[in-house]
Amino acid sequence: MMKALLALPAALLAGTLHAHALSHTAQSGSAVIVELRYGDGSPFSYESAEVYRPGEAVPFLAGRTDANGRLAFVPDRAGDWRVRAFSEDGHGGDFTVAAAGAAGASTPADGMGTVGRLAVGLSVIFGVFGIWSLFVRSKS
Amino acid sequence: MHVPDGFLSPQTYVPAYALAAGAWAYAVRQLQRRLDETLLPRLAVLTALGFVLMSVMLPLPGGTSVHASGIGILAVVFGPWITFAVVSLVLLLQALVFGAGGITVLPVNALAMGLGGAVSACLGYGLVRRIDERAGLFVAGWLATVVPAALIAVVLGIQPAIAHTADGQPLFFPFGLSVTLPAVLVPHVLLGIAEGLLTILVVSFLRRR
Repeated sequence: MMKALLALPAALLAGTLHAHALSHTAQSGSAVIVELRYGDGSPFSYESAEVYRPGEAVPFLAGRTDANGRLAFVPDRAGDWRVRAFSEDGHGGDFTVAAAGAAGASTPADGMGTVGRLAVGLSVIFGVFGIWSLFVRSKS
Repeated sequence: MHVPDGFLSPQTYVPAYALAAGAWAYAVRQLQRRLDETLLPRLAVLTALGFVLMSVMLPLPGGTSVHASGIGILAVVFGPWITFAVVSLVLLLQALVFGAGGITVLPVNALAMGLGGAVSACLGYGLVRRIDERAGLFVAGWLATVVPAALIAVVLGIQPAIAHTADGQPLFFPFGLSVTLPAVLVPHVLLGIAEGLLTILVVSFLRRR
């Protein structure tokens, strides 16, 4: 419904101004935010979008633009990232965004790590059974 | 397996806690009756083995991951009730240390894996060992993996029917039986083969000593 409401005036305007125009702006930081707008300035909301790493054919990210026609991704390498956006009624864009490339995929901080947790768990198990065995021996 | 907190409705885990409380009380009595200084070290080692096996995730083709459990080994060596008791301890530890599983879902996981897995492993082992000892051990390991998986899949799959809003939106786990049964069972039928082989290996090793 929302999509139809937004797409209809845009489609009418697109016919008079320039067909299927979609402008975009991108700001780069550690994330790249791409903002997509129709020729009349209305946002390209809730439409399909894909992001590709430089030179790759499999999407890095696939999803939809948000209510304000924006799309955000966090590039993990430098280069020209390809952004494709398209709506069912044939609007869309296919362009590249230069990204500085952050420091690769970050690894989430993991307090103890698996080995540390295994050690804690094993200590508890052997501790429980060890103390328990002291009491069993003293009984018999 | 290991259903996390928030996936199951209170209508599921409150009765499960009541059921598990009775089973835990009975299991502790069984454990006390069989307890002596030779049982505890063996129980400690195999409980630790189970804890390690359950904590190591093995990736499977298709993006899912599974873990072995050692429940077949525990069940063949110690019987279902002691297995249920120590698996409950392991699950509690995993929920507290690893964040795998959870506290509200603990009785469901314990009943499915500890009791369901151990009882079916003992029954399968008892039936098949008359034909062949090693086949019996394999069946115990396989059943101890597949039966809990099936129980968990059913518990997950009935959540949309048990707990939903007035207009039918599921409140907890959203998928029905037609999704959960294949999604859970297919990897575990394969994993069961590894678990069966592991059960043969470990139990034969223990008996030779």
